[in-house]
Amino acid sequence: MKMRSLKALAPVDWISALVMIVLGLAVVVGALDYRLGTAGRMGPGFYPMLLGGLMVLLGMGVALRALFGKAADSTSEDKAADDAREEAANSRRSLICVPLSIALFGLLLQPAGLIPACLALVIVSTLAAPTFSIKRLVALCIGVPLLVVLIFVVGLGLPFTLIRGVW
Amino acid sequence: MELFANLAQGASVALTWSALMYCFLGVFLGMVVGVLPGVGPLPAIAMLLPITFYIPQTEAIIMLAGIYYGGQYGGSTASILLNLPGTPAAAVTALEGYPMAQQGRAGIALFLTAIASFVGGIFGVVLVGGFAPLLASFALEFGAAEYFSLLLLALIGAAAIGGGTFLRSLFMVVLGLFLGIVGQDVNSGQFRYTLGIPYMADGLNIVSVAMGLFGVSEVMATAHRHRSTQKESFGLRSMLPSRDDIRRSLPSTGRGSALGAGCGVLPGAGAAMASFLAYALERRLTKTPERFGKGAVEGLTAPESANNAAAQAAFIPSLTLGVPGDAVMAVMLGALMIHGIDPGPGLIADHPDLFWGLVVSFLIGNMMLLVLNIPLIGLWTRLLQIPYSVLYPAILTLICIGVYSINSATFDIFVVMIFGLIGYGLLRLGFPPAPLILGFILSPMLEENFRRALLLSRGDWSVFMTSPISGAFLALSFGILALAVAMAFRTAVKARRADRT
Amino acid sequence: MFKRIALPLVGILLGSLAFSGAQAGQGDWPQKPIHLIVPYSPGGNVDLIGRTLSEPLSKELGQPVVVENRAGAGGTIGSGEVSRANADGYTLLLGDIATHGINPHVYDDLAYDPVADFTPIVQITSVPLVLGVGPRLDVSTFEEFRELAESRPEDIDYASAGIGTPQHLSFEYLESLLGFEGLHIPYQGSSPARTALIGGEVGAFIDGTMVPAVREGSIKALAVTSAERAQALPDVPTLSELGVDMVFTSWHGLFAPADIDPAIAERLNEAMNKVLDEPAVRQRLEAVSIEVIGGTADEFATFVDTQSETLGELVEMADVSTH
Repeated sequence: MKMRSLKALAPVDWISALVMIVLGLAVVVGALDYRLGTAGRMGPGFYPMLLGGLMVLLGMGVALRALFGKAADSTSEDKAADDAREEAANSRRSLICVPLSIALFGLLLQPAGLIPACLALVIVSTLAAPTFSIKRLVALCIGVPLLVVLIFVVGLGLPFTLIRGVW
Repeated sequence: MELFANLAQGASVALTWSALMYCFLGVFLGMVVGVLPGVGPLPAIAMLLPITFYIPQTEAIIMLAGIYYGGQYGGSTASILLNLPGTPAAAVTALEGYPMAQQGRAGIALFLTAIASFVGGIFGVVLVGGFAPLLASFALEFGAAEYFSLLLLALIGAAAIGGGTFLRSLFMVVLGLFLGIVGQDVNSGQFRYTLGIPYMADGLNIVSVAMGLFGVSEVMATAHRHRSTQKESFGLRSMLPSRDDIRRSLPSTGRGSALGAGCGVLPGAGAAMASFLAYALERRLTKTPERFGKGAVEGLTAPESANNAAAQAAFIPSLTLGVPGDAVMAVMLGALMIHGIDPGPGLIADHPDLFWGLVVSFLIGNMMLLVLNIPLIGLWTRLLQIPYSVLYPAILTLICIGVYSINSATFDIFVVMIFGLIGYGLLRLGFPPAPLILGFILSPMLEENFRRALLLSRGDWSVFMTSPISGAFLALSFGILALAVAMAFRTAVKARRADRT
Repeated sequence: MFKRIALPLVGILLGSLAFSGAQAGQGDWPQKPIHLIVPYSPGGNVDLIGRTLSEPLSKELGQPVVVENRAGAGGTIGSGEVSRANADGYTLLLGDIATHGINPHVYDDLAYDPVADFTPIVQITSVPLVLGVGPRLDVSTFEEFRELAESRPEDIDYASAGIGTPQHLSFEYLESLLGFEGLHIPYQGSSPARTALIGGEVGAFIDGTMVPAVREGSIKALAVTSAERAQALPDVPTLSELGVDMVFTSWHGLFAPADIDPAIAERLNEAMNKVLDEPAVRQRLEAVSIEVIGGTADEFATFVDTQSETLGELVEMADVSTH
């Protein structure tokens, strides 16, 4: 019993509930900008208002369950989710490098071209790997752009600038 | 036997060397682009459109159609191997397919997928061949109220998808519904939640959302890990399913095919809804729900057969009503019309050689795909032998380019990044991402039809009940909802009792 | 064997590299592939026109013409990109009634000026719209439709392809001329609206994609909105023949960024006119009931100006806004 109530107060549920309610409220606040209308002529605000309200309600549901014994929650499915959570908690480096590498790709693609964008993505994302190997990095820097150009530009004929100003 | 005479006529068209060649070209190309997540069959079809001006109309359509359903075959590969769904339907495949791959059962997963796709595809073809005019008139029965109720049923059914609890799944559905309405509102023309960004005027791109939530968040969660590469054998044996796998797959493939064919007939709803519903149905029917999410084969074969059946059935409204279910079909209809063929109820009677030739080519194309796919399985599973630290930068590149290629908009690359972050956060909090995808794609249709139904009825809410089709769907939705609540209550009571003792 | 293929390939690559470095002067335009921006997704009418024209135009100009889809925000994203592109003749826009006629009146903060930022090259098409009724309305001639509109306007639920689309504006136009007000039911594009008409969910619809359904008999065509009868439906009278003073056609045209070299613009206009005269091209477009126009750049410029004015009034009348 003691164990259960400890688990019931697990911060994950509280954070989830908080996220759900905040998101829901944000949607509702956004919907206030739009006309609600009537049933016969519903305005653009009606549906998002409904959705936002539902989100808040569901968030409160999760909070309530976290408060009063979350019996139905402790299924095996939940355990899988627990594992996923624990696993995810160990990944600070990928948490930064992976999105950063994608953003760099997006920033470089049009001004610099496909190949520089690929190189930036490969180099930065490689930093997330558990070990660093210069051999692997060089191989990737040659292999990935080559593969990409062969598949998308040569094979599919997509209109990409390879290196801006040169190709 | 009129059908046989018709098929014989079709065979005389589809079994010529040039028709066979274009059919092969189509399915092969479709499969290849389908494997590339995000790219999809649309660019390939659009690119080949000018070529079709110069080849005979039947061959042209056979080829374009081949790309379309070939793409459905290929779409599952990346989601099984790498958790990279390029289409909403493939997001369902990833639910069971990816865990199977992680357990070293990638070969089996791909094999079963190929078989299920084949069965579903054939089922869809039979439907097209046998009942096209009948089904087309059924699809016309679907007005705004019917659509709304069907969509509601699909959404409530889908809340059963993915791990986590009912409340969380439901929340994800609703969040998906919300994200789906970002952009211009059809009924009023107003821009909603676009944050003043013109690229959001048409809403977020589903491919970016799906690839972010599944693919990018998966890379974020695992890139830092030492992942031991699986040592497996690649002989025929490693991809042959066990007796148990087959026993589980058979009925689910049948159910998926039927469900998929039914959904495919309705223009617009199509393959994605079919696979979500098929998956949800298997989860409801199974006696061992705890296996789901960890590589349950029936959760793989049902949606796969469903989306392929739907892809074939989608030709029914396109050819006999002239109503394309999606952009790919629209391009194909354009090609037909350029050749002077008007799609519509009279198409089968006016151009029997084209229609039946196409039907026979579907059969042939599906067989070609099966034969093409089985030997490739060994090659695909070998992909997993590559160390993950080498593989994931390539995956990320593939994601970025795939997403960009849809609209040539860098904005979509940032969307994929943001949804990667969101997906990662959701993963940590135990929210299942799949229901969000379904909510996302169905939301605009749900709202549109809801508002349209009430607009047409001048605000009278009873329209949803007075139509028999709509009423039946609504009753079914409430039934499922009541059942879910009752079951949750029962487990809660049980657990409480177990607590006391 | 390998060398035989690889060496010329490398040669070509290096050659093209050297070429693209040199800025092409006007005399020798075009020196490299031309990008034809289609501001909509693949699959629509505009895309279809672009892909039908790209190949013959490539032959005419001696350089590939590559269709690029830059879809988004009702065509404003692609149009905006072309308005900001280099005016070197290598980036062109396939614009239409929405990008250069309607959008300026609907979007407050449009990223481009349809007149100042572009050089009109040639009008490519004119698409007559058809006033069609489905099984829900028991009328088979325009006269019956007009009587119904006068006696029971509340029975006329009409479809459109969305707020502020040509389909919507043309119906509003017709309403104002006939003096009735039906219920507007917007759909997400032409094909769902057409289905709704065939299925009897709505009663009427004005659109350019109904010809196949009219031929099939599932939609009755009451009138066409063009000045002349439509080639695809020679038996259907025009609105003006029926005593309604209304002409409204959808159209597509080729645009270049504003500061394009006049010599290049002229060359483009010539090439386009040749392409539009090819019987194969005409036949393909007419199969989807699109009429080919052509003509001089000046004619097109004047046309765009008048369109912008008329459409502005219509937008105001229909009370379309995105806010």
